[in-house]
Amino acid sequence: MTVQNLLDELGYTYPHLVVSVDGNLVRHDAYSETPVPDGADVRAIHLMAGG
Amino acid sequence: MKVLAFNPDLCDGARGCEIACAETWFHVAAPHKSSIRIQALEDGFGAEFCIQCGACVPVCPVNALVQVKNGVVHLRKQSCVGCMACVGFCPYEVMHYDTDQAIAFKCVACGQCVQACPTGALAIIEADDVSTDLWNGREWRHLQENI
Amino acid sequence: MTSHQLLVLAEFSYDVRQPERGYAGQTLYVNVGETRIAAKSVDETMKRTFIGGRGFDLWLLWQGVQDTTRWSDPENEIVISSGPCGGTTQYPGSGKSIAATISPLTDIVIDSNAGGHFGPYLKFAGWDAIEIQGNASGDVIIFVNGPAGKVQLLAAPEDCPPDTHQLGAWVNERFAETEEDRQLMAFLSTGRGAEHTYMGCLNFSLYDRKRKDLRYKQAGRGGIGTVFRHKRVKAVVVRTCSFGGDANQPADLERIIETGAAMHREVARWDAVQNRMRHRGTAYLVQIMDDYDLLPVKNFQYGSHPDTARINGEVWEKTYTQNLPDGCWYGCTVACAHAVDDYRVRTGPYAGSCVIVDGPEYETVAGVGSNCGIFDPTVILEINFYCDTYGIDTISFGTTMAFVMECYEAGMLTAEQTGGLQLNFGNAEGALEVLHQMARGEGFGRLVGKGIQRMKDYFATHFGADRAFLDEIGMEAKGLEYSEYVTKESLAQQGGYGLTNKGPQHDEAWLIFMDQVNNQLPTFADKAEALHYFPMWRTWFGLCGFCKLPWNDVVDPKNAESDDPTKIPHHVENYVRIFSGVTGREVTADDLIRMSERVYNFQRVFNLRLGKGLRAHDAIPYRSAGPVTPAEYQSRQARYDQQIVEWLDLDPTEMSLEQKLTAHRCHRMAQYEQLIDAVYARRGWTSKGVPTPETLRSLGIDYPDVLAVVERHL
Repeated sequence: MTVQNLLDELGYTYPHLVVSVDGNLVRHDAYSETPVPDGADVRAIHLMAGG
Repeated sequence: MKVLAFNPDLCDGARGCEIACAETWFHVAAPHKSSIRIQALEDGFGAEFCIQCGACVPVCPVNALVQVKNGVVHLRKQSCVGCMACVGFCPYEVMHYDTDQAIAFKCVACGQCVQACPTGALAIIEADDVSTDLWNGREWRHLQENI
Repeated sequence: MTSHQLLVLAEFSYDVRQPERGYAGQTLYVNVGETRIAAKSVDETMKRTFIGGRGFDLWLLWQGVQDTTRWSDPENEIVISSGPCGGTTQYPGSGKSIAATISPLTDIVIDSNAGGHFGPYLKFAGWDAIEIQGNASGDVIIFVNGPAGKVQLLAAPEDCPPDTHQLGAWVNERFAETEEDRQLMAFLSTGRGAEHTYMGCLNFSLYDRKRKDLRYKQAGRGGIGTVFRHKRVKAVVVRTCSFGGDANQPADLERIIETGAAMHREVARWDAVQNRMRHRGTAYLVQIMDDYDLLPVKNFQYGSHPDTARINGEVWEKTYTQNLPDGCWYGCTVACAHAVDDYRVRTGPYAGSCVIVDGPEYETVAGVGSNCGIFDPTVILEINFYCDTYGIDTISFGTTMAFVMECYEAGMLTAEQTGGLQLNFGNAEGALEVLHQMARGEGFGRLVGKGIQRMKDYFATHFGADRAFLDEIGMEAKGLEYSEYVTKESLAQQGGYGLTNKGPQHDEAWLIFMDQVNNQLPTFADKAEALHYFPMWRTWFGLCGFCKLPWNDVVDPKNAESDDPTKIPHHVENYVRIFSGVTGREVTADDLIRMSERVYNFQRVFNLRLGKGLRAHDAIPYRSAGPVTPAEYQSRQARYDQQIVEWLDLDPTEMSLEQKLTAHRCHRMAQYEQLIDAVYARRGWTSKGVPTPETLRSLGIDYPDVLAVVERHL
């Protein structure tokens, strides 16, 4: 599974995300190539927005 | 369209073009007020200047940027409100700004730098398609091959 | 006929000074009742304490009104100011104006911001703010003629059109002779809807040099347009001299230009692959909110709907015409102000005419669209056009209409009581008919125009509706209708709406993602800290003339590597540089928060002075905190059942739906009370919600009349 697969599964469509896998930041253009190992600590911080 | 072209093979890096440009348009011999910028590269020199692509024209909120018949994009100073949107949106980062007057400025292919260049590394040419090949000599060579 | 031929009721000459370091150094006072015009000077203390924008508005209003002043009284004022950085052309979103008055909806101060050219032009014409007091006996126009150094109060003639889009053409004809005049002129107006409702908005014009036509941005919230028309003001016209990128005469132009050019590059690089503000505007949010179950659907009952794809950003990107980046102030490259040209109006008094419809923005699409169960973009455009030209706030209209529709479907309201209208969710023609009635002040629309708080009273008293139910589903707090986000699953955002100064508008804080999705605010202390920092940060934009959008709607991903990505530190640093560059005051990011704390607490005290501003007034309708109806519960049953296990250690399989609803209600409302305690403590307020004298002293606003107000409540 890649970061992009995981985001799709979670329905995370918001474009301003800060994603890290086991503490390592993942560049926004590398979501599709970055694997998510089993049991990894993945964080997807949504930067706030709103009108 | 009318546009400036550069041949790195002929450039000696003396940067007289920068001074000539700044003196023409700002009456000072200050390279940071020049619309052409020469850089020293590992294997010689490179130049950067506006290639008249016109991408800045729709970005201007006050219609101060106008592409005239010969293809050159001019900035009408009296209309400019100094927002620098064109500076940020220039795909080639060759729209510059003057902090004394709060206006943007760019190459208008006036040819003053061509006259000032002692080695003949600059020319005003007619080109159908413009690209940064105008900076690296490819367009120059292409033109010569076709003559 | 030109402006020269209008009857002059009062005239005032002044020396036009170009702003220095962002300030014109004086404010304009116009009493339309007494036909009196005067100048007031702005001293260093006023600049240091209140900064500008909303701060100046509140300070001038505080001195103009009494404790007992209500919205319609002659001493009520409308004050409008941009702020020291307003009119900067190099940084995106630096042309905002902030308007304030005592609101007909809330009976406390409302502040509402708008784009357009008015605020910056007013300053370039020599004034940091305009203060309008008194109630005129006939329609008037205020004309601030910068190039002539003259302010005139003029009698508005009979042929002055009733609604903004026509009034604009009329003003252009009378006050601008050349294309350049039109470019250098801006005006405020509203329409007949503001005369007959409590939710009148104020329209701020901008002359669109590409379309060669007028456009409008709205200070929508809280009925400022209603007060404007009650004072019998038809328009405030300002004309400025031609100006350039240094019109504010900033202390350090170079710093501003460098910061601005770098930000423009950031927008150029990232907007197209992020929110596409330059293409979709704020409407990009419609689909995102639906995806996260946060889009208000059918009076905030639900958070998503299968038909959202019919009204999402992709649709609007195709519907907006011209498709050029479209800013509401010069140099705004975020440029979210889109429009639909040549829209043919279908209903009402302008049926058949072709008009420009500004937007629609997210709030409008969600409010008059999904929240009313309407998923037809042409209906949204029609309502948007009429709300704007009639001068009716699209947010209050949408939320109010949604409330009416739910009342109708719940049997609290019958067709007999609505004058024959069957106001089910999704009834677009019914909603439009109500809108036209509101503008005329007739029929059922006359009642709807008074807003949810008054309707609840009326429905309960005259229609025998269940008051408790109305209170739970009526999405208003402090008398102001909610803006368009579903907050049920974010306690922090329940506070973001409830613990505001003016009422539930998201411009103070938007914490849903931080709280609900990211789980970054797990404790009450975390939530309280966010409900301190973000309202202060966002208040600051309104002190200076900035728009909030360029702060966090386009961001270089390098932000991810910063210490606190949610604050966007490199953009905060930009604002520090611009503020220092304009004013010459070298400040830090913490100083900006301090500036806001002063004004924010002053506004809280102002509310107390007007008889509100206590804990009781920070209450929220239960619909914003949890599921009111069985249908709502069932729509998220798995989530709610799970919460019963996790939060309450109960077994939902052994509970009736009624029991489960009650359990949620008790828990969620108790949580909200706990949140209030934490936030008040963080803000330096008593448990009743009163700023303590120590808090006021530490902020340097412990003036005797300010202390006297809080001492009554200690």
